[in-house]
Amino acid sequence: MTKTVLNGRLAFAAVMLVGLILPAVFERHMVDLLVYAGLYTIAGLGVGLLLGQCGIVNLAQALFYGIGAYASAYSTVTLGWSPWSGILLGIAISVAVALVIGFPLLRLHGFFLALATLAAGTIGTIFFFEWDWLTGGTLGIGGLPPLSVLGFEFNSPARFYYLVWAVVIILLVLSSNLVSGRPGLAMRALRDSAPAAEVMAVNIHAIRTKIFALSAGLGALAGSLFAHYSTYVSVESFTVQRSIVFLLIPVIAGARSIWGTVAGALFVTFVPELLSGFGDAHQMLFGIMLVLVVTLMPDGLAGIPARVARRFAR
Amino acid sequence: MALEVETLEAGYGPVPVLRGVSIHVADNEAVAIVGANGAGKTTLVRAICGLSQATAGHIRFHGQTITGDAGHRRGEAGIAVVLETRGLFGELTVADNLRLAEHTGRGVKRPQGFRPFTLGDVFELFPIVKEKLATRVELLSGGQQQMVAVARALLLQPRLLVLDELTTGLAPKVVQEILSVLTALRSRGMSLLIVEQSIKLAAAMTDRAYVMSLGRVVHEVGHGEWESTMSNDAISKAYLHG
Repeated sequence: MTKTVLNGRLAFAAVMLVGLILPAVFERHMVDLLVYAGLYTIAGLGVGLLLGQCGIVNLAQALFYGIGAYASAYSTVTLGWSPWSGILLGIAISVAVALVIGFPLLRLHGFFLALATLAAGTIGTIFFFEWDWLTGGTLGIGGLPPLSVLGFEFNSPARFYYLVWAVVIILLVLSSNLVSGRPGLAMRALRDSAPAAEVMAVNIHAIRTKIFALSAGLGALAGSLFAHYSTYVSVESFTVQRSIVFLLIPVIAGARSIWGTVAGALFVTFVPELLSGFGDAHQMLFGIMLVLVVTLMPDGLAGIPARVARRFAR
Repeated sequence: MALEVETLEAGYGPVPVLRGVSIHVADNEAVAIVGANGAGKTTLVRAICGLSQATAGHIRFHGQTITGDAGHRRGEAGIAVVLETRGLFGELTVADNLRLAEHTGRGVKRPQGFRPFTLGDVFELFPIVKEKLATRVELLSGGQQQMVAVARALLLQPRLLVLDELTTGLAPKVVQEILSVLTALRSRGMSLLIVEQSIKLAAAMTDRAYVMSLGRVVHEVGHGEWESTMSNDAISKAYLHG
């Protein structure tokens, strides 16, 4: 085992250990924020796979986040299904919607595709608002049951924290395997040169559509978990602004880094909270910090360890 | 017949470039497309491999019409192309470029008796490719990149290999190396369509040729006619810029 690999594993083990004890040392509000950071990591991971591996800007993630949340809310509160069935329903609907809208939209490229996803997200918000028989409109749907496994209920921030971060780690490992395997190679090839990938018998449209569907599934999973955590969903949580936050996660993290998604999600969750003490100026300060991160760190937060390593190597 | 192109018209958006181009490549034949800059040679390559859609005419590959097929379908049918820009994935290593080709090459239709190219085969043809496996492609020299591009195209298991301006900008030694590889490929029964600016190189690599000018085929060089064509000042001056 090389020294670098050993150091990497030790650092990973240390982060895991710190992660395990955080709910015990942090106050409830901070644990609550960590839960949201976990949920955002899942949704941001989907956006990041599209952006970092396929070069696609997705501004519709809140649509799938909303579908997951409403599927869970409607199926458990109105239909009386089990929460896990609701989660699967949300993922299935999101993937189906992504395939239906992705098939035509993903023939577009660049800015046109980004605008098309923005339009899809906006239409989604309007549907969530107008279909109040299904979504409860502005009143929303409340009274979702907590998730439970074998009678153990995830009904507190600390309990939900362990659930959501276990899901995050599993998804990050699976995504890393996907990206380092043959599908990842094909994705990076089409990001690098789509015409060259096309003449290499790579079905670009099929790959883009599959990753879009995968991203939608991740969005739906995050939305369902959010719904069961907050026990209440309403249309304000699924606007285009939320899609922009999800897009910021891989942009801040460094879009090509899978594990960096965590850093991006922590940034969009904690930085606005830390700046909230500055009153009305906090949004402006958040904007300035974003500009600084994007301009000073082209590889995102995930590029910091490599930069530090290079500095020490000199 | 490996490739038949009939009265093909294609271009970029509404701008027509090819105006009724007809060419053919027989099985195990090497054919050149020669002509000055702007003759439409690269547009013809793009139309054959599916990167530009034809607005009129037909393209058939081993008897199957592929005119409207997407580029990846033509790759699956057995057409591999080395683009003028090489089309390599610069951020990936040589190994990853080859790995992707090896994988997609498994889905390519193969006729009975077709002996697929293995990594060992391409390393034998281009020993330098094996040495540079762990190197990112963008860090290779132009000649090395061209060898990776050809090696990658071979792993797609093509029955027709299309090479667009393969030798442009390469050192004479590298050109000679590539020429010897093309000769080896001929012995494996592969059809070649080679776009080349240098008429001398085209003569060294192919059996026949089509001379293009302003989007049309203006002259055909038949079997055994290379020498007379090269000594024909009228053709050289009119279409090949000397």
